Amino acid sequence: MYQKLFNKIKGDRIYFAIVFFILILIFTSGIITPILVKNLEDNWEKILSGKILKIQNSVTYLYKQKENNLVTLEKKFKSELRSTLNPQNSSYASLLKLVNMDRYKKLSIEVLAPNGKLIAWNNQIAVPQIDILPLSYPAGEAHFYSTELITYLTVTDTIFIDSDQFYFVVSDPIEKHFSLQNPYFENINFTKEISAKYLTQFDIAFNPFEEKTNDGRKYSFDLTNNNGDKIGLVTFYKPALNIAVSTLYETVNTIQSILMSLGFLFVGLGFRKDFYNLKYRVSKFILLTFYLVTFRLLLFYTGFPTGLLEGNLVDPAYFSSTFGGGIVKSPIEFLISSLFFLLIIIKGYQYFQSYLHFGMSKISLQKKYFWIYLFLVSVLFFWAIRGLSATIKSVIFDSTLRYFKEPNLIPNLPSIIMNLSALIFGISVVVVLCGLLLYLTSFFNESDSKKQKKVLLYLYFYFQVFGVIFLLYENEPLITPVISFLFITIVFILTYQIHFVKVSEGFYYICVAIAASVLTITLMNYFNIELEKQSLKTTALEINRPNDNLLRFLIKETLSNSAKNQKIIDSFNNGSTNYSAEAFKLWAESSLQKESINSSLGIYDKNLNPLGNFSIGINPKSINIKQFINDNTTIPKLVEINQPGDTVKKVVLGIIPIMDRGIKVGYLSAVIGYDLKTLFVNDIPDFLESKNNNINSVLDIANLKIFLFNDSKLAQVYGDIYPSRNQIKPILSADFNGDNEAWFNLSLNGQNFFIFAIKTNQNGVEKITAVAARDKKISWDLFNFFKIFLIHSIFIIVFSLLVFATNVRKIKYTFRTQLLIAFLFVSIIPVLILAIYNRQIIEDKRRSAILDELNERTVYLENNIREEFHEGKTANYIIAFQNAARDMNISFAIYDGNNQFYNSRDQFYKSGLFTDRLNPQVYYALNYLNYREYLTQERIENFVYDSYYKIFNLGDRPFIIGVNDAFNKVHLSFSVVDLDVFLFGVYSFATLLMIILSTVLANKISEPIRRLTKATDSVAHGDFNVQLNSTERGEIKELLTGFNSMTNELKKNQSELAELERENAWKEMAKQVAHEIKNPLTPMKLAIQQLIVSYKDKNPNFDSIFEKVSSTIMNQIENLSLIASEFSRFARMPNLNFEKIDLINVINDTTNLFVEEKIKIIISNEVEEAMIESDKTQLRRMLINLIRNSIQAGAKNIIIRVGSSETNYVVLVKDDGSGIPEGIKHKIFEPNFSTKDKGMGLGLKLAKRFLESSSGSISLVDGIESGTEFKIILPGLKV
Amino acid sequence: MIRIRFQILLIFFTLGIVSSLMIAQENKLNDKAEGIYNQNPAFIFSEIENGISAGKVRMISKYLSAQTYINLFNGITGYYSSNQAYYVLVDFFKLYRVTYFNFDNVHTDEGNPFATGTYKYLFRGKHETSEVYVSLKHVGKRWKITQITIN
Repeated sequence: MYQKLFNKIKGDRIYFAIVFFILILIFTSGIITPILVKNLEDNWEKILSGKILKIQNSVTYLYKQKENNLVTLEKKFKSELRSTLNPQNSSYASLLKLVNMDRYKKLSIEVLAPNGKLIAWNNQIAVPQIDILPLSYPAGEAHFYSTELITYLTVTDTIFIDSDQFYFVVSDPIEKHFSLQNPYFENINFTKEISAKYLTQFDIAFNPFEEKTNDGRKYSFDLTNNNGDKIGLVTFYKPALNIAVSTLYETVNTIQSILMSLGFLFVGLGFRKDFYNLKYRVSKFILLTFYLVTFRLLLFYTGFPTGLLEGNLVDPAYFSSTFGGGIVKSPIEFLISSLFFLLIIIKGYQYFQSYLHFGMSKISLQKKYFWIYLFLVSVLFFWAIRGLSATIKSVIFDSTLRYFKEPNLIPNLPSIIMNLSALIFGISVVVVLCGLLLYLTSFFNESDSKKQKKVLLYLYFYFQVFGVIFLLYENEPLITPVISFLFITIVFILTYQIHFVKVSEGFYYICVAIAASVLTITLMNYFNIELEKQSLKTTALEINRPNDNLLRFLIKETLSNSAKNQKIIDSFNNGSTNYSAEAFKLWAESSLQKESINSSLGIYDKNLNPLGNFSIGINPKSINIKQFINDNTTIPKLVEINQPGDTVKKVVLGIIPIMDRGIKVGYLSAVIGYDLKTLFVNDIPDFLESKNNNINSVLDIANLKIFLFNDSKLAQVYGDIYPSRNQIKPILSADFNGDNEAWFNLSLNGQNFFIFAIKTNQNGVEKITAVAARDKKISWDLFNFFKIFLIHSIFIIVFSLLVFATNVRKIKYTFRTQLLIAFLFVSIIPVLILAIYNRQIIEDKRRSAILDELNERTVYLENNIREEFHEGKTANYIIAFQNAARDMNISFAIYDGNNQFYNSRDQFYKSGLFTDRLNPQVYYALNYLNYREYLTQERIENFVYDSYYKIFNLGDRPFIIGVNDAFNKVHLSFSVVDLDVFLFGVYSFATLLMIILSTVLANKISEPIRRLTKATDSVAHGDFNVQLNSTERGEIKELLTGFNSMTNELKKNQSELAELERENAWKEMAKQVAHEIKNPLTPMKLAIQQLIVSYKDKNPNFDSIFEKVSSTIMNQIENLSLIASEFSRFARMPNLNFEKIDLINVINDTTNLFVEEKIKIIISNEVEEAMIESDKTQLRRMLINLIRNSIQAGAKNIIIRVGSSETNYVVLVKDDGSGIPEGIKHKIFEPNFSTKDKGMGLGLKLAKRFLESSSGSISLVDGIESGTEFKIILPGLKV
Repeated sequence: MIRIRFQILLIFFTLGIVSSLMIAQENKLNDKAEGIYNQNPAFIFSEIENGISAGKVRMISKYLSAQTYINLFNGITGYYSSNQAYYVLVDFFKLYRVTYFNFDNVHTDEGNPFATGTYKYLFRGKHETSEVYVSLKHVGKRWKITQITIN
């Protein structure tokens, strides 16, 4: 048996040769790796030198690229500057415009007048005016300029305009000396860039004075500028041998992994033909599943492509599940697994569908087992739904992505990938569900479609009932009856579509995708609500997490790490250090930023005089640290400075001395202020807040109500509900479980809340934390739906376009296509225009609302400041501004000309995060365009915010007041993202609907024309039996009726013509026969007469005459025989025109003729192609005959299966018509035998004769219980 | 006839396996945690110490709670499900290979047991040090990790 099996497997030698080659490569790489390692170890010194040189050259090259870019732009700017600084220009307005052009927006540019005054600048001031002159480097030379926060690559240059010398500086940031865990942070770091590239630690001194290292483990080299001058020093750890060896092994492993994956792929391709030749679909499905599952696992275990990728897509922090040993451990792995799953399901579905068609007659007889199968299928149906639900639950719960709360219309890449994966998984399960229902419907192969519809309706009600029972009996049901109802309804609609409407495959999958999208989003929405409920617990835990232990740890850890910072230690030897900037850098790198907690970090000299500070939400001046220093300890000293009696607020202070080689040079202090009220609404602006503020990302914290109890007394409240005594009682007396946790519902102020409460004990005080959220039942949230549907619809539209593109060659420019294009064009273009127009309206509305909000605040400020002034409270501008900031609690800046005069958040300016120059665009608008107010967008890092500037006079002095929404949260009455989601969600939904409706309408309108076209084609091929049923009205009805009359007339004429032709032919033939017969008859007659005369005359030569005459007669008889043979040959079939053809193509072409008729023809090819040598026309005629016979026998379905058997191809044509009665089966190939009234009984006879002429055969398959099945054998083309 | 039934059942069987696998992904880690009831925090910290020292997350994954707060110096900060936390920590220990780890302070006598320690690791050929904070909470009959901070 095995021998037989192996004999059948042939494979493709080319692919196997490739696999063999790959195996050799894998084997060789395994052998040579130890040799390479040995070589590496033996020649390490030499190799190391080479590596060092390579790194040096490569780093230098990378640097030079940056330098060249800068120098090129600087030269370009200089040439533009020359034309702009025209002496005829009376102002510098055009200069300001030039500097702020888009092409220079990544650079920092400053232009100084001959007198050294700054006359033009762009968004970021890199080099302060004071540091530009005198020039520290020759004009045009690149060099580094460092501030505490950023180092720039800078070129300073001069330009002469009419003997006036202007100065300008062009700078490009090359390295930031701080980093933030924040989504808006723009990481520019040359050192990190090269460290990651060369897998070793680098350190770059951005000054020309640094000496090369003496450390033997490191190597230093100079960075030189475009003039060959040293401007910096690069130091890096020399590559270590062990790292080089492990890198080598990793590289080999990666190569081997890729080779193995490729090898496995080629093995599959090698067996492709054998796979297609397999007889049984189930064998194919099992083999394909096995292959794909193995391939997926191979990809996973070899780390492909995860091992080659970096970033969010492979980060388990976004999503990971332990399912399947890790095959969905990251977004990209989930996507790959989903794609493999989809492939298996689609192929399985296709096999299953064709399987049902081929086995339908057999299955229909097994109705006695129906109830068993119904139960089995029902369980599987709801099991599959549970599987999808479990997956979507994991997508929501095992992910930090908040799909419904993405701040942007189009979310980030991991979110897109997760949405795509969920959709793919949803499509797979919906296909499975449809397959199961199709299986059940196949039990009822009724010819009456009304009966079938009735069966489907009964099944629908049964499934609804079964769904409810299934959920009741489940231990932990994942979904609700409402979701179950939705699933069943949608899947039944799809099944109805497949079964009755009979749509094309591509269109069916688009419908499946839309259905899967709706169902997936419903599940995501449902589990998101569950997650929100769970988040109440997370919120309570988060409130209790910053306990004394943690706060102390954070302070201690921050101070310990900061005090070891060599740059801080060195800064005490550098008199010009900006300590506020240093404090910000320490804060940014510490847990204080990561935890996004109100905190302060201060730097002091050894006498505890403050040098610099960075604080958020804490006023450092209110804490006198001197009182806590009373020893010489070098470890952090921690103290709690809580208010007496306040058990809720916590303030923890830590101090540590900064030691430089054993000598105390200063102090560092860190303070954390913890308060429930500021936990969620802290003073940290968005561009500094930690990226993972999880609580905010799950729940809208503004909607929460939080109650803290200390020893059963209400200690603090967060939210707008202050509970009464009666309302408190249920919280205190809640049913706490063994973990001291309780879940319950409570009505507060007429609203029902869902509450999580946790009881803890801290320092002997029993604390209860209760977190309440409005109880939200499962509801169809339109916003949530559109938020995800928008993404799904993009995928579905892309998929539709792909389907279109892959079939574009097959698409004919038919009447239907023209109609479809016209419909889509007419419907989608206005929708697009409308969407763009509405988007613009939303943007205008947003700008207007922000302008109003910010303007309102400036009005408050102006009034307050003027009041201070006019009422004589103060004559000092700064004090007036400070008072206004304090009284109004509004952050603002005041400018005098283009210089910042006052800022209520000066710590951000002191630390160097912001420049103190007025935004140049604002300066241009107010100064040159004479605007009174100006709204613009500004950015810090990648955070974009709106800023409003307005001129106001205080006394006689004009100021510019600036208010922005980076520091003043503007709450619009509408959410722009929400509006965008609705807008684009509705339009994308409408677009999909239009595609579906356009397709349906185009089909409907063009259907009669298509039927007519096909029927005309049939007539052209000699099929005059075609008739078109007409349900249409008007001209189309007339056209179809006319066509039917025409074919009837043609048929009649053809019949008459044939009769006439036959008659003429007979006449002609009779003439010819008579003529031909007459010719030999005359000599025969003469010979006989001669013989008679000789006999009567008793001629003595009678014997010789007899012999002569006999010979003549015999010759003439021979002539007559020849004539008869000639006529017989003439009456035979015409000569066949043999040619090389693909049997499958001929079958496809022929069946296309019947597309518009009421017959479903399924073609199942077990071979990719079937090349034969035959007469194409006769073959088509034979197939038309067979199909026409089936239609006339009342068949609804015809299945044509093409397979192979040894050197022959076998075509099975099976129908579900009335079949052939047993008694006449043996007569069907006889000529003139027909069961039809008007049949001539020649079709099957001619088919048999044609096939026998082609060395083939046709036979009726025995044992068919209903319908008819013909088996046609045709010899394959001999190669 | 029998063959057709067998084939259909085989397809169903395959579907059943796929569905079972899908359902099986409902929090596998928690199932593994059976049999760790009523162990004292000191023992758990010792297990965690061994797990981190060996860089083997499997040794500590059974103690991860449904929502564990993780704060790592590579930028990972937030609450993670036990499934997520597993691979987050696996990736972290793989990249920042531990060379030495121990808990300096273990506090087990309070309602919120916690431990702090020093994590020494090798990254790109350079030896670095971080501070570690781990806290536990009683969940059901088990002690579970509520927070892991490696800064």
